Amino acid sequence: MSTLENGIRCSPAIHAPGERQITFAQAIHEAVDEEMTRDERVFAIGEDIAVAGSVFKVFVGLYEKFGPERVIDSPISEAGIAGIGVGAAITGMRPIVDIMFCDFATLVMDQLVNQAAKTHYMSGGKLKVPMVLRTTMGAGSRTAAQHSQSLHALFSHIPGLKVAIPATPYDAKGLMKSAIGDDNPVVFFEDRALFQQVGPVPEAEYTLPLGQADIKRTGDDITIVATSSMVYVALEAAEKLAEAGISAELIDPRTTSPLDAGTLIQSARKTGRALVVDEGYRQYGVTGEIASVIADGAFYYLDAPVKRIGAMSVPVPFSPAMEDLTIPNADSVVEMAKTMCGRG
Amino acid sequence: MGILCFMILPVQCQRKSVDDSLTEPTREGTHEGRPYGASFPSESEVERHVYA
Repeated sequence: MSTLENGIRCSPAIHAPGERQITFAQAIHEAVDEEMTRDERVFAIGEDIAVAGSVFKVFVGLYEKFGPERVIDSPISEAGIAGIGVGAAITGMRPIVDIMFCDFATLVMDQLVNQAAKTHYMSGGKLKVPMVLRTTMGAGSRTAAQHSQSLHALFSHIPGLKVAIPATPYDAKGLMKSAIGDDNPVVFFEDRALFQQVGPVPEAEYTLPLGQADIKRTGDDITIVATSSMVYVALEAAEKLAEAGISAELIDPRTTSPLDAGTLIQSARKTGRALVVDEGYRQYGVTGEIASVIADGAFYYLDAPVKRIGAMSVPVPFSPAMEDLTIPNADSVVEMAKTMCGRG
Repeated sequence: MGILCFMILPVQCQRKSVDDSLTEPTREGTHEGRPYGASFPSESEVERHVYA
């Protein structure tokens, strides 16, 4: 934790004076590069990831460094790519399966949900599936309903899968390295809006455990739990709330499965109020699970009902004006937080 | 009805002073006074085998 001029304490993932600054995309690239260098069993497969370096250019240079046997361009068949990944993982490799948009991860549900997630359990622990499925999420890039969803809740629902959803370059690198080294299938969500986000990342080797939330900013009056790009929405909201005399604590779960319930409950008990913000659909979403965990663990400490803000229950519109209406923003977070604090 | 409100309100106002042991989250639960774990494997024991 570092302390800002106004006395607010911040996570090193947000504020680290003197530290090297790189983008989220560079952080992912570094993590994959380091793990492929460290372990020859690690390879990547996906559409346009090799020669093109992936459509979002995160893998540029890896094909030239590691060659066509370890950075593999695949046909346009998500089910096939994921199936190859599961098989390779069971037989001792450590694949990184690249699915361009999480909207297309619906095509790999059998491979992930019925095979990867259950292989260890159904084999009595004899087999394991150390595979990372990295994919992108998020609205705001005007790519319409089939390329804008945030479907991490679907995978968080499944026992046997782990789900990472980092917000900062620091978290992205540390979690990606842990995901590649994990013996379980990990679904790794990267928000496309964050690829050019710059943040502090140490040059020295480090990893971050899957299942440990991060207190991005300390506060006393209300806990805001936010995931992925919503962390920045919540940070902006926290600044506006501070101007209104409301001190907001910001918690980033970093992984939705496993979920660090202890940190969430502890913060809610301290502040007495909790607001959950996530870009996935609100109905049956991640916000519902987190709100339930907090209500259960901090009920007698709460001064207001746990509230949540998610994407509207509509296909993400192509019209920019309408798209912006459907996803949470700083103003909607501020308005809800003020109401919860009796300042609305 | 009024008497009922007067009985409930003080409890609500003092909720933060409720004994922590009554509010700690628990996964074990009880069944007819016995912990579930006495006759069934606990949830965490079963879940332990899901992940490598």
